[in-house]
Amino acid sequence: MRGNRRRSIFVLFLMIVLAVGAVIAIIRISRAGESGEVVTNRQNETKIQMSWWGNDARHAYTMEGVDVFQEKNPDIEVSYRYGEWNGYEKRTKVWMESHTEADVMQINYAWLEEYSHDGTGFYDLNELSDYIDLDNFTDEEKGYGIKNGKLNALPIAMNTHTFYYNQDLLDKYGLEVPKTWDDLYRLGREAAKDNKYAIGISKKQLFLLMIAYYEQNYGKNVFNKDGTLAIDEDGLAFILEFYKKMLDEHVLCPVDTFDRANYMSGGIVGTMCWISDTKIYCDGLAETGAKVSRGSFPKLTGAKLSGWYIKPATMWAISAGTEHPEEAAILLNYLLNDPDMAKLQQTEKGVPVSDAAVEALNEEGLSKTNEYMAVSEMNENIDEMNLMIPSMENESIIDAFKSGADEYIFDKMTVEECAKATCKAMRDVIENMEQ
Amino acid sequence: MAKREKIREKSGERFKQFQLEILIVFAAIILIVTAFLDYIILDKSGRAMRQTVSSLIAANSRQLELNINSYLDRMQTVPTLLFSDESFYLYDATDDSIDEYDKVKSEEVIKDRIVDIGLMENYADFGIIYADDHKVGWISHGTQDLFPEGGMYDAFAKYIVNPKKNDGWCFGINGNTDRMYYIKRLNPNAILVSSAYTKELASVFIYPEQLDEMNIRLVDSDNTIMFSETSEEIGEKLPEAIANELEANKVNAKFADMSSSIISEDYIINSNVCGNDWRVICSVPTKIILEENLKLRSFTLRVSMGMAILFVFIGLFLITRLSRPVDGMVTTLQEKAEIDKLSGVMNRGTFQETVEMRLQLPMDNRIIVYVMLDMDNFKQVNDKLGHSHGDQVIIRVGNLLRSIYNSETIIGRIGGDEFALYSECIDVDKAEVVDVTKEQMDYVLEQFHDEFVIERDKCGVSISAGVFVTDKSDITFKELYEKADGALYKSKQAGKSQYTLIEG
Repeated sequence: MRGNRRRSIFVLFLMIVLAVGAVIAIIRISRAGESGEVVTNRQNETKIQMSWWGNDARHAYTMEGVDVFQEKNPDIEVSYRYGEWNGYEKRTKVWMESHTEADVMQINYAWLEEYSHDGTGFYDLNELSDYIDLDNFTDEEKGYGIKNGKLNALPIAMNTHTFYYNQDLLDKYGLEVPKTWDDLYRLGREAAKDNKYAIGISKKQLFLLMIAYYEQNYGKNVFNKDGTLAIDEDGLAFILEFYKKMLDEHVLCPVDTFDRANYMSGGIVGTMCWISDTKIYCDGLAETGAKVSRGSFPKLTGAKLSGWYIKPATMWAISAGTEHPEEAAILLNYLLNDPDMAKLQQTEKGVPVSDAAVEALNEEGLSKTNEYMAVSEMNENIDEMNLMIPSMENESIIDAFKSGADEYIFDKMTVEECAKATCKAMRDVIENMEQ
Repeated sequence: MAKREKIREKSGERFKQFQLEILIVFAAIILIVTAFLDYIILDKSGRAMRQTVSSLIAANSRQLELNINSYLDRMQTVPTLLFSDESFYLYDATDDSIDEYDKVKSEEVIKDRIVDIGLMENYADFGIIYADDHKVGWISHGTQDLFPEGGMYDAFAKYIVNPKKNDGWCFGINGNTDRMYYIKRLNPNAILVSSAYTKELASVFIYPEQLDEMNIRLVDSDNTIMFSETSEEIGEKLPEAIANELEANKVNAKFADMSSSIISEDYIINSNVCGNDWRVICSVPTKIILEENLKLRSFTLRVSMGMAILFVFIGLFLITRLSRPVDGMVTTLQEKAEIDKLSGVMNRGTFQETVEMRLQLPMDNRIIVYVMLDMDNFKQVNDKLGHSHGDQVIIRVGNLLRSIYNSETIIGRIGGDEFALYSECIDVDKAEVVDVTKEQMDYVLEQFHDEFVIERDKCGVSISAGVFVTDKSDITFKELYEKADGALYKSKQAGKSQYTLIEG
């Protein structure tokens, strides 16, 4: 009897335990998520920004590259600003002067002097060598980005001018690829018969072409090494007359009406462009079915200066005021040295300087690209080429030249008046910059 | 005694089986009721959850709509800054009366203005196209390459559909899906064209906490996807299932083009109309929303089943503990109800019931032997030797029969001095069964003869039997009884103390 009683008590106890357990479980389930319980926890990513200029293709692959970067670095969120080259210098000026520039910036070689004369305008990349593989660059290559002993930027590729011609049109006119200025005039005369032009170029290329012609003729530089104007009014008058003659003889398509579409459709025989623009002007023309030939930089027999310059195509830099230098450095290293990025970028910015990027591209037949062949030619002539002076690319100086030149081209001034006014305008811009 | 024990066991088993059945039925009722209640509660909570999620999605979608509207407004506002000076918007590059120099200078001014006002935005294009396709500003190579044969001005101008603002939007022009264009007329021969990469919308379409399989898309008025987190979808049509849901629910909306939330079996969809008739569509499969609910339902059902099983075990234990005394009582009562108390064999009712149960079992090749035994002159025993002796005779007959036949044979007392036997053989030749039965009957008569010597001498007691052997599969108890009874009658007629066997 006593055993049965114990057993009954045990069963009763068991049932009470089960009932209490069930009630507690129900209460816990019903109250889940209440009373300030943390149900999600999101770790904030480090947000950085990058900026670049370029064409559609560059925008597309860079954005794709950023996606790949974020997959590799989920803790870093990258936003971007981008735009076309025209106006981009102005945009950059606004950012730099208002201290709102992106953390990682694609910069022009000329901007090093403009924004970091003493080396403090951009972050010293040497301090971030734990994140950036600097061994992919020679001292000479790094030297392009050093200001006042500080490594402000690293070059993406080296750049110079090259010429591309529509070989079908040259064949039609029975001419060889132009090698001299006279060859260009000969081509202009033939092209004029079809109401075409020998070459079409942008405003900046026009300025650099004029500099080359002047320097070859005079054996003097247009700019001093400190960026000030070395050319005088007579020299500028010489350039203006040459410019007008080229227009009049259909050697040069008027800059304001130059249209890539016109070049593609055969309205213009050739063009002068950066090696980094090969995709647009060489490959682009070839895609229309035309045969394309690369031309040489025009030379004057007996010239003391070649007037032919070299520069880093574009460079990557980090904002001096970035709040996230390590993350910015990781992104910069990716943009320069990562094989995936190199394969996305290909040779759109020219043949890369980074050894790691070159190695990645070699696997994809880098040596067969038009950019590679153009760079090879550049390297063959490297001895007669000089490093570009930043003033040569300064948009304000170029605008002053173009605007002034228009007064002569459209017969609003005599060549002397125009040379005097233009010279003054250019000097004023340089003085303003120095101030 | 063995038979009594067996009957006791059998009756106990039946009672336990009955208890178990009750318990299981009760547990099943609990399970069904719990499941039903769970279903109602969880279904209601599922509906509430869908409603809540739909409301949350609607709120977030509204935010996305505001984001995209803000983005589009910005893209529309910046070009209006070209109307700040007539020199920007009235200039007509197709006007041949304008001097070439003036054209160059005018375009320089316009270009500078475009640079100034477009400075801070990520434009893919931002420029003016004139009726002769002449361009000023940023008209990208990508856009120019869409019109290798020219006709850029005409192609864009036809998208100006807003008569008040003289503007419009377009997407997918000449197969291009990487950017969206905004077009605004400046003068009869000039339109401003600006564009942005649809990828830019990723920064607009930021959804704080996104559900699995949730899709956020921006579609134009033709349901062409302009933006999706799945970039492969861009340029494709909205998935048919979602488009159909939207179309089907259009009729239910007060206004066909209003923003709406749809909760269907397959999807929760939220469609928000933007300022330019593009729509932000958020969709999430309903099953994703109800996944947690279904998990909860499954959990609750498992708990209910567990509790039901636990209940059965506890119930069994308690029943065992509580029903033991009742069990014994019931067994005794059952025995009393089924067993003839004198002979110790089954009473008539139980015998008939047991035999009928056996007959209902479907069996092939079954030979049934049904025997009816009737004591001759039994009345003389009661008259001459007293009823008490008569009862003793019945007891002895019962004992004799139980000692002769094994447990496979069903034995019953079906009348005062009448007994019946039922046995069956499987897969045995009928003739062989007949032979064995005859031997058995001879033996029974012989044993009877030896057992009841005094009664035979004093009262002439003997025993007659009717035997019916059949291999019919669909035979009834009544038929068996009648056949054996007929055979018994023949034995009696033939002089008693003998048996008659008939086959059927």
